[in-house]
Amino acid sequence: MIEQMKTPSGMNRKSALAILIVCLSLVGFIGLLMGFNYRSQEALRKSTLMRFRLDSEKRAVALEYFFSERKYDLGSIAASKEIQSYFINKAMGMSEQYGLKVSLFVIGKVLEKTIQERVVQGDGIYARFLLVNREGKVLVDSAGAVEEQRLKIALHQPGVESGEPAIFFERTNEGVNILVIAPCFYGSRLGGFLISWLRIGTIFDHFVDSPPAVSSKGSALSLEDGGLICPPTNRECVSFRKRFPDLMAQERKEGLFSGTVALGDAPPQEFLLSSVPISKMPLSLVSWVQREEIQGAVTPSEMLLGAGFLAVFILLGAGLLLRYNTLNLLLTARFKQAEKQQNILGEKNRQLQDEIHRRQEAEGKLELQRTLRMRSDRLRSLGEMAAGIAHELNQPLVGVRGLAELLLLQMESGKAPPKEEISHKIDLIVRQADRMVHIINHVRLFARDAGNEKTSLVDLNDVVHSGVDLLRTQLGSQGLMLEEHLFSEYLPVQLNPFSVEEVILNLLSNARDALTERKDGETSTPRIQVNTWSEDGTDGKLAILQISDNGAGMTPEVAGKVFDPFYTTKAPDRGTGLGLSIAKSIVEGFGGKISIETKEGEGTHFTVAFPCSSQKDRNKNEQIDIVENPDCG
Amino acid sequence: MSRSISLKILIVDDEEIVRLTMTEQLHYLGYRANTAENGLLGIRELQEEDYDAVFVDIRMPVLDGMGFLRQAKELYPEIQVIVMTGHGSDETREEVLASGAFGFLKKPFRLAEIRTLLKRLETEKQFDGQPNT
Repeated sequence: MIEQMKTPSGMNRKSALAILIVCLSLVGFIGLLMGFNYRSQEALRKSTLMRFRLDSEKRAVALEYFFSERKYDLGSIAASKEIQSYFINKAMGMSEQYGLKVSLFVIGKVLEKTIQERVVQGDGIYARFLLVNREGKVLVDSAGAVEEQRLKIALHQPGVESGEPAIFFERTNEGVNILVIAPCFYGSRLGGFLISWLRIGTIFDHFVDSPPAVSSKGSALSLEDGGLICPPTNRECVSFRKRFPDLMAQERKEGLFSGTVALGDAPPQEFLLSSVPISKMPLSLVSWVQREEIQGAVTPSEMLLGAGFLAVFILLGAGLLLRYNTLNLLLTARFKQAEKQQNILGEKNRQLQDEIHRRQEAEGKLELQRTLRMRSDRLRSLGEMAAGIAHELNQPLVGVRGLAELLLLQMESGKAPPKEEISHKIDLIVRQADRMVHIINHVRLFARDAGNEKTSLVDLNDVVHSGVDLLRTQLGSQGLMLEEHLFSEYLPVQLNPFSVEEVILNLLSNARDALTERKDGETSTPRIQVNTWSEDGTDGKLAILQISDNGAGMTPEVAGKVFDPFYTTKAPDRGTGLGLSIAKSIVEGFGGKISIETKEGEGTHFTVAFPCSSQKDRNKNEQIDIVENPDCG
Repeated sequence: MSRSISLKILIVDDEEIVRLTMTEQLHYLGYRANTAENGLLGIRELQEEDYDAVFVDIRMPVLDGMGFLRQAKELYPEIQVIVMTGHGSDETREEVLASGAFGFLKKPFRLAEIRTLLKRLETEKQFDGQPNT
C-alpha cells in the first residue's frame, strides 16, 4: 500500500518540477522578448526623435537660405541700374512727364518680371513689390495700393536705413505679413525703399511645412515675441497658435517640450514640439509631432507593467496547472489503485464463485455418491435379505419336495407305506409349508412397514426374537454362536416393530462383521449375545436390549464416530456407514437411546433403551396383541 | 448294478427337515444313512464309522460345509463329499468342485438328482475297487 502511494507522489514531484521549469523559462523568454522589444522601441524612439529634430533643423537652414535669397533679390533690384537711373535722373531734375515715367515703367516691368520668375515649383514667392521714395511716397506698385501709414511704421523699423535689406513681420488682422525691405542708394544717397511682400502660403508649403504625410505632424514659424505665424488656411497651425504661448512656457527636455492640444474638433492629444531658431532672423521654426508617433502608443513603463502582469499570469497559470496536475495525478493514482483493488476484489470474487461452484459440484457429487451408496446399501441389504430368504425357504422346500415326491413314488410303485407313516410325512409337509408362509408373511410385513413410523404397543422381547430369527440361520451357518437371553416378563414398548427389527438386524450384522475380523490367534468361540431386561431410568422404567459380541472391538476414536453418517471402517463393498446412523435415528424416533461400550480386542456392547409404555398408552393403540401384564417387570 | 454294494452315507445339515427328508430318500434308494447337525459332529462321525459318501450343507454353525470338506478330504482322501446349499450360485459350484467335492447339489433337489449322483459314485467306486475285489 505504502509502496503504491509513493510512486504517484514521486511522479508528481517530477512532473511539477518540469511544469515549473517550463513556466519559468516561458516567463524568462517573454521577459527577454520584452527587453529586446523595449530596446528596439527605445532605439526607434530615439531615431525618430533625431529624425524629427534633424528635419526641423534642415528646414530651419532652408528657411535661412530662403530669406537670405530674398534679401539678396531685393538688394540686387534696389541696386539695379533701372532704379539707380531713376533716382539719378530725378536728382538731375529730369522731366517727370517723360524720362521719369519711362524709368518707373521700366522698373515696374522689372518687378513684375521678378514676381513672375521667382517661383518655387510653380508657386510664386513674391506677392507684391512696392518702390517708395524717402518720404514714403509710392513710386511703383506691382499690385494695388498700400496704406502709407503702415508703410511708414514699417520703414521706421530699426536697421532699415542701415543699408542692408531686412525682413520685417507685419501683423494684420488676418495674421502676419512678411516683408522684405531694401534701401535704394544712388551714389551714397538714399533715394527710397524697395518693399516686397512674400507669399506666406508658398513659404509654408515649401519650406516650413512639408505636404502633410501624417496629419499628426506639422510646423510653423514663431516670432521672437512668442507669436506663431500661420497661414489662415492651415487650421492645425491655427489651433497650435492659440495654445502656443502656454506650450512655450512648458519646461523643455532635450530641446523638446510637450503639451496637450486639441486639433480642430478632435479630442486633445499630447504633442512633442521642437523649436529651432533660424539664424540671422528673429524667427524660430516650430515643429510638432504626436507623442505616439515617436514613443509609440505604449510607454516603456506601460510595457514593463504589461510584462509584469503577463509574468504574474503565467506563474498563476503554472500554479493552477501544477495544482490541477497534482490533483489529477493523485486522482489518477487513486483511481488506478481503486481499479487494482477492484480487480483483486473481482478476482477474489471469481475465485469465491469458482469455489462455491466447485463445492456445489462436489456436494452434488457427494449427494449422488450418498444416493448411490444408499442405493447400494439397500441393494446389499436387499441382496443379503434375498439370500437369507432363499436359504430360509429352500430348507423347508427340501422337505416338501422330497417327502411329497417320495410318497408319490411309493404309491405309484404299489409299495405304499403304512397309513401312519403317510400321515406323518404329510403333516411334515404341511408344517414346512406353514413355515414358508410365516417367512413370506414376515418379509412382506417387513417390506411394507419398514420405515413406517406408525407405532404399536408391543413386547420388546417379541420384536427382538423376530429380528434375531431373520439372521439366526445365517449367523449359525457362518459358525457364530448366537445366545438369546430374553427377559422373562413382558416389556411393553410403543414403537414400530419392523423398524426396530431393522435396527436389530443391523446390530447383528455389525457383530457378525466384528467377529469375522477377529485375529486368527483368538481361541474363544465367536459369540453373539442378545439380552433384554428392564431397569429403572430417570423418567420411569426402561426396556433394554443389548447385543454383544466378543469380536475385535474398537478404539475410543472409532467408537466416538460409529453413529456418524457415512462413517465406516469396512471395505467399500462391505458397508456404507449408514447402518448405525439409521439405527440411531430409528431408536431416537421412538424416544429411545442407543449407546456403545467397547474395548479393543475384547468386544462390543450395543445397548438400546426404550421407555416402557404404561397402561394408558395401551388404550390408544388398536393393534393390541396378547397383553397379559402391561407393566415392565 | 446290484444293491449289494449298499453305500453308507452321512448327511451333515443343521436343518432337521433336511436331515429327515434325505434319510427317507436314501433309504428309499436303498442306501444306509446317518446324520450329523454340524461339520464338527460330522467329522467325529467319520472318525467313528466308515462312510462311502457325505452330503454336507455349506452354511452351518461351528464348522461349515467347506471346512468340513477340507478336513474330511485331509483325513480320508478316498471319501466322496457332495456339497449342498440353499442359495448357491455357479461360482459356488465351481469353488466347491475345485476344492475336491464329488458333486454339488442345489436345494431343493429332486430324488432323481440324488440317484444320478450316487449311481455315478457307485460306478466309479466299483471301477476303482475292481482290482481289490
